[in-house]
Amino acid sequence: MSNNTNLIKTALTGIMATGLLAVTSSAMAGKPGMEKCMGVAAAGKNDCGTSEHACAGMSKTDGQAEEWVYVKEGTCTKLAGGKIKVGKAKMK
Amino acid sequence: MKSQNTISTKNPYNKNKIQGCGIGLRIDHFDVIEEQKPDVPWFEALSDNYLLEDTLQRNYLYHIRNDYPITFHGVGMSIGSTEPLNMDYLKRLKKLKDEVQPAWISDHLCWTSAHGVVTHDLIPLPYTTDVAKHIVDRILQVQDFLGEQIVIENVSSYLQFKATDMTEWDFINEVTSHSDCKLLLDVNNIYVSAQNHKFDADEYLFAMPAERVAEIHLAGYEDKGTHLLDTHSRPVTEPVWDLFKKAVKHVGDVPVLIEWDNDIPPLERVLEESATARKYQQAVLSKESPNGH
Amino acid sequence: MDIKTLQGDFIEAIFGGDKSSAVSHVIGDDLLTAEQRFGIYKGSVHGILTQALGTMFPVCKALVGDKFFDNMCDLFINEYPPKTTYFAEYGGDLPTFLSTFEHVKDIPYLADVARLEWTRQIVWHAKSVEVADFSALSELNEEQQSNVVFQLAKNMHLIESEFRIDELWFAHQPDTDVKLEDIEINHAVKLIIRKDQGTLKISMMSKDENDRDFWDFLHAISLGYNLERLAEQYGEALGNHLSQGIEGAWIQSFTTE
Ligand SMILES: [Fe+2]
Repeated sequence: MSNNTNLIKTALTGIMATGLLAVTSSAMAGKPGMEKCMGVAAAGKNDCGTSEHACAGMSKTDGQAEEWVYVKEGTCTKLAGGKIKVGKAKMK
Repeated sequence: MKSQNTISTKNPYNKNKIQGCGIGLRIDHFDVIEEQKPDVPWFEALSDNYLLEDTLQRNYLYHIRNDYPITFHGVGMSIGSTEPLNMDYLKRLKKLKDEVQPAWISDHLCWTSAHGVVTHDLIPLPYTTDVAKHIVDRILQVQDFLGEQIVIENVSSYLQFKATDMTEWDFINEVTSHSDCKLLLDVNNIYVSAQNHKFDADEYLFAMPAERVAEIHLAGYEDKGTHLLDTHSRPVTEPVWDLFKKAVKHVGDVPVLIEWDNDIPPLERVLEESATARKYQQAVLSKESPNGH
Repeated sequence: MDIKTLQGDFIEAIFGGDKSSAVSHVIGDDLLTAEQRFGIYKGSVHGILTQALGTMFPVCKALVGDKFFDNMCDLFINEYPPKTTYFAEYGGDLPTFLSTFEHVKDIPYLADVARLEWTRQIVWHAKSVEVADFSALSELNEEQQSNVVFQLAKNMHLIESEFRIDELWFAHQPDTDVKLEDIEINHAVKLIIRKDQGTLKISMMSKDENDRDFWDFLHAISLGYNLERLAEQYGEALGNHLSQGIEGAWIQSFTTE
């Protein structure tokens, strides 16, 4: 208990010492260690990420779920799987 | 009476500035609108896309409304639902309205949610006196809450209910007159429903209360063989243009809007469509003395 | 006729329940039966929601292909009908749905990719909030200090996966140079997803032990561990982690409950 109390005290003193009371999120950029392996995706200006609401109808055949199609025709078929590639890290 | 914030006082537009043929504001076109500031008389923003705060969409809307007059159009009010009014939705709508100050707010004469589930689609109602009363009640509540008259649009439909005991046009007259709301006359929707249910589009159109029409909608449907589907994915068709000309004759010089929501083409193509609407509208207006103006 | 019942019957039938009551309200004719007319609405609702899900989960959709995705969405929509008026809030249950969906058992990473895409959406739309004044921490007494709970920045989320979902995601972005063929999928990752200056960053913690330890530390904070418990777990490393967390604005605020 008292050990923890000391650890906490030391930790909080450490924070005060760094004097970081007006940090903004921009200060995060380029912090060491954080982005060693993966890149950054600049989301496009129009990339709102959600579908638009609309007052239009759409068609999707009723009963499609019954004739279930199991076949995956997407990009997952391209995944090799077990191959190991060390050091294929994307720096940004 | 209305809360005045910094954005709203900057907007040079007011209700009188909604005129001519505008188009629906779509995310696909944000960049080109911002960069080229095309000559568009006004944009109709689908309000439901902007109700969450701190989103990219909302920021774009703040920008665009500084350059263009705006109207709001929604699907989430679910005015025909039997569940309580969605007050969270209405509060958000009111806040957005105070910020953006649209000339008016419209939604549809139908239901989109019920029993806690949201379909995100426009589902028709049985047309009866009781249902009309129910809706009048709700429109009055909404108008009271928003502090203004709202605009209600006739929808396309693909089915009719056994319980219906009056025509759709009588139903619309009943609802609009008793709630004293405005009407958004979707000419394409009249045509689609008339074809789907084999009634006379002209009879429907000329039964509309011309003095209440705040706006006209035009869009393109898809012919599915057994029915027309209101997909907003095509140019306006010839029979709808014909009906539109009759509508202009009937309601006079009312703002017109092109809706394009699926397979959205480049902005210029949508603007071509609104230019066509303007041309037809002007031609009718110059021949006729407008009766509803 | 009770319109409330009618609407309930429609909701039931649109989302995969029994159709007979809904259909019984509808007039059929020689062109389309009542069931077909009702079906137009069911199809329209499912079409609208499938499109919304496709926009929210484009990588999942690309991975399984359009047809599979469409069919899968029908089942998902029936199981999880939208309770929200806003598309941005619909689809959060897809990762859960996928984690037990039998037809994706051969691609077990799909649920995690869905989680990544959903998180991306949340992070992308998160408010940027002012960072708290941490100097107030020094004014607390010892007992209050040990009860302090921190909150992570809202525009940042942590994700852990058994699979290399970060590369999988990047491989589907425009102008990427990550090749699907090169991805070693069976590689566990600890990711940080955050928005910074209008860009979205998906970072994998490096192999550096201190970094991975720091991810765990942030994760412990996200679980609501108080300072007492953090000290217990991280011992001497607490000071460093805490400074790093506040300095990097990973930690945004604190409460003294
Ligand atoms: Fe419309």
